[in-house]
Amino acid sequence: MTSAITAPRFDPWRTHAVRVARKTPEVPGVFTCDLAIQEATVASTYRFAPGQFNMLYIPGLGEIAISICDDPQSRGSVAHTIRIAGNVTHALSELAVGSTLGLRGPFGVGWPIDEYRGRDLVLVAGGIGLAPLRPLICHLLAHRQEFGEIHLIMGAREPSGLLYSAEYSAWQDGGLNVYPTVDRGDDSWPGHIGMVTAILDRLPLCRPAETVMMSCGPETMMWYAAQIAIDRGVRPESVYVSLERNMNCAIGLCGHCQFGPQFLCKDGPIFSYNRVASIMKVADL
Amino acid sequence: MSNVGRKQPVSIVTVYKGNTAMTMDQPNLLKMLCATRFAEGLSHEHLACLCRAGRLVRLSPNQLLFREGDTEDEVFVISSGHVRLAMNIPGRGDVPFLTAGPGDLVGWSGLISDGRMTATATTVDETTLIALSGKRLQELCNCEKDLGYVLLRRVAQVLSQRLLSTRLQMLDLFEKEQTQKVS
Repeated sequence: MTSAITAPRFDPWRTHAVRVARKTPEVPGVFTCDLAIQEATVASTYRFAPGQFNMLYIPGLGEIAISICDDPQSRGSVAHTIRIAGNVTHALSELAVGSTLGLRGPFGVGWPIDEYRGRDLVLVAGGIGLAPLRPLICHLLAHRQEFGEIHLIMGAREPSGLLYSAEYSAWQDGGLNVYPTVDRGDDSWPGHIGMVTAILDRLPLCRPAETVMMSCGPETMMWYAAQIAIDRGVRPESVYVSLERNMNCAIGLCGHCQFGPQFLCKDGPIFSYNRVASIMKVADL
Repeated sequence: MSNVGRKQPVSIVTVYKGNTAMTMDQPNLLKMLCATRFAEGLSHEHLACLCRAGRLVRLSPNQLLFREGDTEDEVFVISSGHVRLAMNIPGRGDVPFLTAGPGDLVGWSGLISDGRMTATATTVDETTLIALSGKRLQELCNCEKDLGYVLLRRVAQVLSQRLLSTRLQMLDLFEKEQTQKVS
């Protein structure tokens, strides 16, 4: 699997000092942290592919895998959208601008976008799953003419949970068909109510066999989105899912993120649905 | 939005009123029905039969299609546009729970039960629907058992998809995500 942007690999064990350059509240319990790499030589050569992740380290507390949500072309700092879920993410939320922490990365395999120039794309995101897709969206906007129709369906529990909502109009203006939807709406929400799968089910797909779907979000959502896409004629090998497990070493040595014969940290987190479909429904895997 | 719907009278523009005979308008209705997802798996002959019980309905945004508790004869296939479904909860008003879109079936109580609507349906945008008389469809299905089997099988598929979608909404997948995901 290849990625649009080749990321030079650093020593995977080396933790770089990074400074919190900016913190932006996104939706309740979620914030974006822009981290500036301190060492000039590392900062100038740091590159990542859409879909990759970094390991963020807070001394004394631990290290955690966080997807990169930045534009792959951005330089100087790298943004991570973080949901406060445990000790490390809680500590990250409390770091002041200017604080220093550690970063290893980038790790993992990105979205295989280079393989699909000229194709139609359907991106399906659920909740915080939009974060790992955002670098891909930035890449697609910058290379819009290289692709056919691009549909972006994103779901959230409620309107206040829709990530990056201020950017939707720019994405739409940039040539993406943007379909936000929520599980629970009210009279103040004029948009769509229902699961992302409902929109996917009725999405106009002009050439399904030439369409690629890339999804990130709750596994149950991705599973049913994949079923619908395949039922509608999208080839199983053209369906991609971004999986997530407890990553620790990030280079496939510790085994924490083993998923059948694969390690999510080095073989994933993005997989062709074909490769993982048979084990996605294995209990407790 | 539901309040807007309540204040406005139902405004249904009938482009075609169906009867048992083919008219000049029926081919257009058939063409529109064939273009919907609902038509998938139904033969051209069966769809032509359905159109005998059909008419075209065009509505502006924020118009009431039917109200929860009312008894309606017609079942609607959305050709274009969107319809928001809501249920009235005492103390909370009309709570929207689903946006139905092109190819979706709404008001199916008119086909498979007594026609008492279990939700209030209001258009979101300019909406075109194919309205099928539930009573007429039941008569057709009774006369033509093959059509009855095929139609009810299709309706069951649609309702099965709706049930799955509702189940996924109820499972609150994004809430679960908070405890499982690290980013």
